[in-house]
This record gives sequence, C-alpha cells and structure tokens, in this order.
Amino acid sequence: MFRDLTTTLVLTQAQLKARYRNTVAGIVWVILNPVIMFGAQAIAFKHILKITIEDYYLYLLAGLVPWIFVIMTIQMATPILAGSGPILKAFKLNPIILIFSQVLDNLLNFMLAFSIMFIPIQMMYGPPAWTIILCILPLFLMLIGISSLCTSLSLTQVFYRDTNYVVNFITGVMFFVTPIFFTPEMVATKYAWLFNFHLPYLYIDAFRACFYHFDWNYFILALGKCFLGTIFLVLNAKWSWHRNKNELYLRL
Amino acid sequence: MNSISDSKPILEITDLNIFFELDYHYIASVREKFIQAVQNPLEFFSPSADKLHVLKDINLKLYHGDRLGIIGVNGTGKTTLCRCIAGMYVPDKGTVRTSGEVRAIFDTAVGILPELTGRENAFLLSRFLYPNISKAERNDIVNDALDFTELGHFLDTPYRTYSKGMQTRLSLSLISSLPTDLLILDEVFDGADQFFQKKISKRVLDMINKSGSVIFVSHGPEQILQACNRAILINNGRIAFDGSPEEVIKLYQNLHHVRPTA
Repeated sequence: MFRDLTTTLVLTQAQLKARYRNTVAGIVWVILNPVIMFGAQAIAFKHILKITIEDYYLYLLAGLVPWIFVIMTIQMATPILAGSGPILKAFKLNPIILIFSQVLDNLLNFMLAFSIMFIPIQMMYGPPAWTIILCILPLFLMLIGISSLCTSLSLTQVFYRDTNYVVNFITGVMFFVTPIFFTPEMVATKYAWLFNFHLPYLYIDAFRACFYHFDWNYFILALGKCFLGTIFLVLNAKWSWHRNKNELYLRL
Repeated sequence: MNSISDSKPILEITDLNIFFELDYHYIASVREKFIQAVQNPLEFFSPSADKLHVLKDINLKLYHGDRLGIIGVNGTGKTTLCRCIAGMYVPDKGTVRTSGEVRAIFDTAVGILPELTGRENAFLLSRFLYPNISKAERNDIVNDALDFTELGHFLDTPYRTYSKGMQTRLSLSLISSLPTDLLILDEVFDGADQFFQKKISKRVLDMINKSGSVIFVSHGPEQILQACNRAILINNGRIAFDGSPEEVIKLYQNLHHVRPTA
C-alpha cells in the first residue's frame, strides 16, 4: 500500500514534468484554460443571457473550475489502461497507479488554477476563510470518487473501445444540464431530484458550498450525498477490477 | 537438477489452472449474418464467450539455486505462467506461493513516459523495479546502468526518439543491476543488437548467478543451456517434461522437428 502510494507520487511528479515539456507557455496553460472558460462564460451568461444569480462570479468560479477538473480527468483517464498496454505487460505494475497518478496530476493543476483565480474573487465577495478550509473534505471525497469512476471507465475502455467516444459525448452534453452556470432552483421541480444521482455534480455542489453563501445544514447534506456517491463508486470500481483483472492483460 | 529439496521452496505452484475468455470475429457475409440472426437471435446478439484453458494442472517447486528454463512453442502458456508467478494474473484454480522478492520482466523496449529523456525514464523505471532501495543506492545503480548502455549524449534526449535497440539497451542494463530472490526473465534479449547482446548476456548471467532462483524463458537453446540448470517443456498448457536443460531441449526439438543447432 505504502509502496504503491510512493510510486503514485513519483509518477505524478514525472507526469507533471512531461506534460509541460516542449510547451512554450509551460505551467501557464494550467490556468489559461480555466481563465478563458470562466471569462467567456461569465460574459455569456451574466451579461448576454442576463442570468441573475447573486455573487455570480463566485458562484460560477466555484462550480466551473472543479467541473473542468472532473471532466478533464475523466476524459484523460478513460483511455489510460488501453493506452498503457506495453508498460503494464512489461513488468508488474499496479494498473490503478497509472489512473491515480493522472487524477493527482489534474488535481494539483486544478488546485493551482483555482487558488490563483480565487484571489481576486475573494477580494470582491470575501467568503470567510474558515469555510474555505472545509473544502478539504469534499476535495478528498472527490479524489477518491473520481479515481474510482476513472478506474471503472478505464477498465471498460479496454473491453469496449468506444467507451471514450461515449464518455466525451456524455460529458459534453452534461455541462448544459448540470447546475454550473445556473442554479438547481432554476430547473423544474419534477427534474431537480435527478441531481441527487448526478455523481460529478454532488462533488461540485459540496465544494461550492464551502465558498458560496455557506450554510452548515446545506454543507453537511451535500457532504453526506458525496460520501454515499463515493461509496457507490468505490464498490463499483472494486467489483469491475476483480471481475476483469485477468482478462485485462489479455485485451491490452 | 540442483535443487536443495530439504529447504523451503522459493516458489510453490499447486494445481494451477488459468482460463481466458476468447473473442472470435469471424468474417461473414451480410447474408450469412442475417441467417445467423434469424436462426439464433439470442446467440447472435449476445454471443457467449469461449473459454480457453491456458494452463492445466501446473505443479512446480523452485528452490534456492534453481535456474529454470521454460521452453515451448508460441501460445503454449509460458508467459501466462510467468505472469501468474509474478502476481499479474489471479489463478482460476490452484495456488501460487512465493517467498521473498519477485522481479519479473516481460518486455525490454518500454519507456514509462516517452516525453522524458532516457536518463529520466531510467530513474523512473528503477522506482518500479527496485522500490525498496535508498536514494544513494538508486543513484549508484542507475548511473552504473547508464554507463553500461554506452548511449552517451543520447541519454539526455527524449526516450520517444530511441530506436528499439536503444530502448532495449537502457532497460536491460537497468534490469540487470541488482539480484533478487526470484527473477523472471521472459525473452529479454529480443531487440538488442548482437554486439550489445554479447556484453549484456555476461551482465545478465552474472545477475542470474547472484539471484536466489531464476525463471528464464527463451527460444534460444544456447541461452537456456548457458543460464539454466533445470528446464521444463510446456506443451498445450501442461508441463510435458521436467529435467535437465539438455534433455528438455532434445525432447523439444524432437517433438517439433526442430533441427538441432550446432
């Protein structure tokens, strides 16, 4: 366990190094993507579509940046196992390490981007610092849950090579039905209950609750939903892994 | 056989069986597919996967000092057996027990992150191969292995630009750095040029001699004779014969009508 954790951290560090090698802007790309997305959506939704949500920049930032992290991670991690056949078949390496290090790599980029973008927003709206510390809890659950989801998807991709296309399609569509740039209250009540089963959104909701109009009751409820979602995702990943472990090497 | 039978085995395999599900993709015309779909729609839309019995009732013990060569034609289950011993496959039936550290290599032309340089990849690979050594020891063995490769300034160029031979030089040099309790080498010399192969063979054989026990898979009878003191012939997923390398190679050549090498 400890050995796998050390290997994951070493691989994450190497991945971060490899990711920005041969790029002109290097680490700047980490924040450029979310900044551009945030700027474009802030203008489109607040000023063109005139969506009226209190402290909209803070609401959008606390939802959009974790959404980018979740979606990018799912899209990048899904093909990892299928694409790492030579390494996995060359020597004994726990395949989960490859997925986990990709998630960690993206999480570090996300935290850096969010921290940099959050400073000016904090100056504008000033959410209390102690609620910000609470974001560690949903972040931790998000790390476990998204890693588990990526494990299941990556395993599925090995057996069904069209998984990645389906994932890209679904994540593209999901953005418009997820309360990132609008609030859940804007959705008709008969559909709002569906958000309880929207696993990526559960993490984003709990994370956003730490920054946007903090309320203890809402935060604990959101965290509880995250916890249940995480248990489901971990169990599902564990089941997929044990069911397909031997066949995995055959299909790589 | 040079087994020390009264000591505790490094490897003990009991009644090992492995099955794989196989996908078949037959080429059929639209007409044939239509007939299949009409005749048996359930089977057509959810075909049941065939089970291939890859390893059958394998029993094997290895003791300290055993250097086992595995011989067999392609597809008989040599690599599957080695992967099972390395812990990459879970047995469908039977048990595989190992004591001590197991290190297994199945491909030598593989880089972890091709964007990084050969040197960086060597350090990364050393993390996977030798996870329990200190930083100073790691620096020593990686630098020694890098010197051995004779790749010079290419070590600081991206790994993705390496030829297969260069990749093999890097991996083989690193793999042969430290002995272990049970070492599994599966056709590791494939890809190295003949000049380097001579040089690396000496280094690998030296490490084989220092390791507790070795499993060596090769299609080259000379390498088996040189490296091993025991051999098994695998035929159709079973151990067909267990004996001295000379006997096993002779049997293998007779079985498959292979002309003996000079």
